Amino acid sequence: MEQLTFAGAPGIIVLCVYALMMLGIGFWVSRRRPGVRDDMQNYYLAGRHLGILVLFFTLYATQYSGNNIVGYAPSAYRMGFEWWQSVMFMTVIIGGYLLFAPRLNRIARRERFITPTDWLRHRFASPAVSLLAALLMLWALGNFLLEQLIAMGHGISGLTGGTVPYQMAMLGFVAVMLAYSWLGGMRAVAFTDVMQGIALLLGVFVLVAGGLHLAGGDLGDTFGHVISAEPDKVATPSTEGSVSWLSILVLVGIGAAVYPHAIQRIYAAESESTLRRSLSRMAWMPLITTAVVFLVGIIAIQLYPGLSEGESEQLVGRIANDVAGINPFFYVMMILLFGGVVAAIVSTADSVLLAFSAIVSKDVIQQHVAPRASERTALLAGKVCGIVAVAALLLIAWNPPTLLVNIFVLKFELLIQIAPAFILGLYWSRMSAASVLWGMVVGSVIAGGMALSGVDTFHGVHAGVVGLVANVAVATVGSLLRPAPASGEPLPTDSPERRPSPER
Amino acid sequence: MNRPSPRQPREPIRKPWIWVVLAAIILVSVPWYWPPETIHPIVFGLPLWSLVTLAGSVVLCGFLSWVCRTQWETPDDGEED
Repeated sequence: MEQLTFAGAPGIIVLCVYALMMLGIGFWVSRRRPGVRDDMQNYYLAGRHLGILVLFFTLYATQYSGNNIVGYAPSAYRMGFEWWQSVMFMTVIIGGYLLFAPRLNRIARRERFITPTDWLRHRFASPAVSLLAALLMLWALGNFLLEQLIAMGHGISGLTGGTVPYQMAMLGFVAVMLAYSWLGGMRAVAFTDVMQGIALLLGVFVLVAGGLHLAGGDLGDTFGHVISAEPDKVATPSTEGSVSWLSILVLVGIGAAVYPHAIQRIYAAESESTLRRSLSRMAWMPLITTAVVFLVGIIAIQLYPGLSEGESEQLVGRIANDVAGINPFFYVMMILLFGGVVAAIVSTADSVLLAFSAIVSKDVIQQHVAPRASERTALLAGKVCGIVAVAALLLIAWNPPTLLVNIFVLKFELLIQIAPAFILGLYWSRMSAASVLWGMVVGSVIAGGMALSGVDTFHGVHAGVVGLVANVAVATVGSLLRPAPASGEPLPTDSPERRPSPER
Repeated sequence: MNRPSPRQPREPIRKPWIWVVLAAIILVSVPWYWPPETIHPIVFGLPLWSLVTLAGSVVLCGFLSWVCRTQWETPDDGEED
């Protein structure tokens, strides 16, 4: 991010105030709830007591990362109107939730699940399925975390115009994040998400208002300019572009809904109706977040024509720089915008870290390493492993190894491969553990192999979706040929039926 | 009218029409059926395809929000009844 006219002391003051507020929330939660660190349900799921406001904001702040601002505006600049797909893919995530969240929330409450893997263990009773799914989730979460750490360093360094160097920025905010997460667990993470979500919303609106002001104040004129100057950026997509658009709706719609940190929030909802009402409001958020960021990118086509791909990546910093120069009001607002960007990054990173620690505590340590360990010990071990993982990722983020960079790209491609076990497994009693396992293996190998060899899409269809199709095919055909034995695990629905039979 | 038992709340997954409507909204919103790489016709200063896509996206948000509110019955609803 380029040097900003307002860089330096004001940025550092905003960051310090912001860090103190987050730490304050962590201390407040740990004082108000003395037992918050004693058991996993309290620490990882806030005792399943997240009410509608906090649940809504934690879903929002977790789902929308800093990349949704600093990465999506350049995409809109480069792709033009075709990038409207971002608004649609952030919306269809709600459709993804509707496929499984209602029933999973009910079963999780009854069976007292802590991690996503608890469901797989309950449904398939297969250590291999649980372990593979846990490893896929840990790998994807590790990559998410790495991405957020790098974004954190760049974001803060940009906010302060380089006054706080990249590495120092990462270290400082990671320390703050670890402190409040350690103290308050999910409660602290969710309460800070309320503040972070508001900062994010405020930030994108101020950015588009400033950008529009710079462009002359009339959105119609901006569209007219883009149509006449760069008609290819408002044209309909190519056939492959349309296929890719449909494919990304599947990839994100399903992949983001089965984020482990998203599933953790499904478990943490105070009640099913709280979850329902939060998701109902979430369905509108793309129109007031992603669509606004899209407009920023389109306005930038008029403001800064002819940027190279590398230059366009600095777009948000460049607009913020110019907007801050308009008058003192916008100057202050741009400082808040970067506070919002940092907030969005930290709020995603803390949720990812919490999900990571939960899976280590429950699915690795309690299941495989020390089955006799007390819950408190496993919880502590998970938290320590989270810190060790963050330290290792910090080392990578310090000097990202270019040769390994492709490995760190793998996130959605792998994560989406757990979706059939979650979604089909909930409703199809004949689905067998072996077919789910092989489906996950085949899907991961295909999707990972394509991504690692640089083949992002096949005729416009994303690698993750190609892998998912193969995964579902293997799981379905395998289960039809060798269905789960009738004497196996009972079908974990909330209804009394246990075997394949009409619903009513 | 059939009223589901509070012990078996109705979920969106059990209502196929929801997924048919969702697929239809997506298929109308994604501009696959327009001639590729064209901007015409222009209506209200914008390419018509983008207006259709924009309207489709608003309908998509509204539909999913509406499904959450009205088509997802929870045990709490049963208790309230």
